[in-house]
Amino acid sequence: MKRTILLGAVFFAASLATPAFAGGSGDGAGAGNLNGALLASNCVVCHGQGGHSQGYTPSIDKLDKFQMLTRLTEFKSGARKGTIMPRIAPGYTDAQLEAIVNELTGN
Amino acid sequence: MSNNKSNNTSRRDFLKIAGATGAVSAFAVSGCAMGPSGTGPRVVVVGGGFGGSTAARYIKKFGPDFRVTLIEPGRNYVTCPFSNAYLGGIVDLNTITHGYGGLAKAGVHVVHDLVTGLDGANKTITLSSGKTVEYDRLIVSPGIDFKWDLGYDEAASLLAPHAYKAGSQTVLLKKQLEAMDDGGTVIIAPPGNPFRCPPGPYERASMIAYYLKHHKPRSKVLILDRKDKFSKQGAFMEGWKRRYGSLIEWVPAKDVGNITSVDAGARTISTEMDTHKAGVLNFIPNQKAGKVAHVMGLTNGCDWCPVDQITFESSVVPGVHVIGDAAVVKGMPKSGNAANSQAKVCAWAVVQLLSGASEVEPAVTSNTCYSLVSDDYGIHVSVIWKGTPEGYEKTSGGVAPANQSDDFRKQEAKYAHGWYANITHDIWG
Repeated sequence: MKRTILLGAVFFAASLATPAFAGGSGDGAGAGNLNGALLASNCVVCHGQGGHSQGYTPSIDKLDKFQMLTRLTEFKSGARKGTIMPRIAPGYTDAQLEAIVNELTGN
Repeated sequence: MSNNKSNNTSRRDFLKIAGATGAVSAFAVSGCAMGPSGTGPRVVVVGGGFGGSTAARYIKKFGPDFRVTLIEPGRNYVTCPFSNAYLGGIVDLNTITHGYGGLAKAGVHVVHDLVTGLDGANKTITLSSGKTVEYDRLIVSPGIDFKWDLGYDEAASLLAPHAYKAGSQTVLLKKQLEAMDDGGTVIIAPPGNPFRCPPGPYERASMIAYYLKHHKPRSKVLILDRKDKFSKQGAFMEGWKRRYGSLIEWVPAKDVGNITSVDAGARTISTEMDTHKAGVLNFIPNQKAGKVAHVMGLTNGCDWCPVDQITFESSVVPGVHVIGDAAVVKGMPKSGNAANSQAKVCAWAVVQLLSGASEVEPAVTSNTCYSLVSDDYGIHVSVIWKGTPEGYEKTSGGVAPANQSDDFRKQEAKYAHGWYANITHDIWG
């Protein structure tokens, strides 16, 4: 069901330059959407804009790419315990997790 | 596509002036001194709740040069999420009330007005002030309206509040709880499916129980349901037992029987078998898409708005997108977080389409919902979905596991507050 995005007008190119358009190589079956800006927008409802939390939920803006990806991968595999993240992380492919981390860490 | 007299007048005025001046912005036409910033395509968003406010903000985020106008009659928005915590006395009204200054600062042109008509062919909407607004794409987030029935109508809601649109109704319910004698019964009658915020009535029972336990310990909460099961049921019932013993009683529809009438003045609910008398009656009516969706002709004569599952474009009127509680989105609940997620996916799609894309890739999106059982006891449900043309397929998620420690539940309660602070900052901050 994967469809292609064709970009038209160029005056928004800067804001649209995200991993979404890097293609869908992914990590096997159902690689799916790799749009980092859109994927990472799922995270901000708990972790705050830019990963800087306004409340009791942890800020994640100080984590580097390796730290964040390691945590997400561990939540996904079950190696890391938590309240809610063990139910969230497995919903993303490895390639999507990497796109999220790239977006949130500015890589 | 309603066309009342004032619409026609506005349209005529518009054509007259537009004809004389050539290509002018809708706001120059309508006489507004200020218009939306930018020089890009014009996106108009109707409705300043979770869906609409998010959409307006994220159009500006994904397409900074887009001209974005948000039309919302209210000056402030009181959120349904955490309105139950207000009933419990855990947060104040100010905490759950948000203005539109943050959106204005983000470059959204906020107009406080009410939509009275849609002309989908000419891509214009008319407002109660008589103004006409042009759009390149329109995003509508109408929320819900009630199906008044069983003798319960808007006038009745002033006696026995539904409190299912937050604001004055929520304040009225809290005042009634405070005025009730110790030993009284609070009856909550949740709606039938589908309805806004599936765990909402049960979190409400929890928060009212929290208030009663501390202030009126001889009182109880009776839930007379129109369903035989409910969202997060196991987790709620475990929490009720742990925090409130037998203070909350839930009666499934099969034991309630058919509700035949509601007497808001007498605070009674009658069924085929019985009449239940309440100290405080919280009757929550069955629901349909918000009024503006019907006025704009987006429901196809039904209760809710059919949409393309990937772009949220209306199946009824091309160029118009519908998001949030009012839209039929297969696989997703009607929740504030789902509206926020749909708005982001829709904003992305709209920016793509107005930038020349012919198709939009399905999104991976999410819903995180916390409910407070007590001040120190939270429970979550979280889902990740991947979009398909047929709806949203769950890729992971579920309800908080059973039989966890008090520390775990306390952590979840803190995260519930964190979620609220961050999602409202994401939207209105």
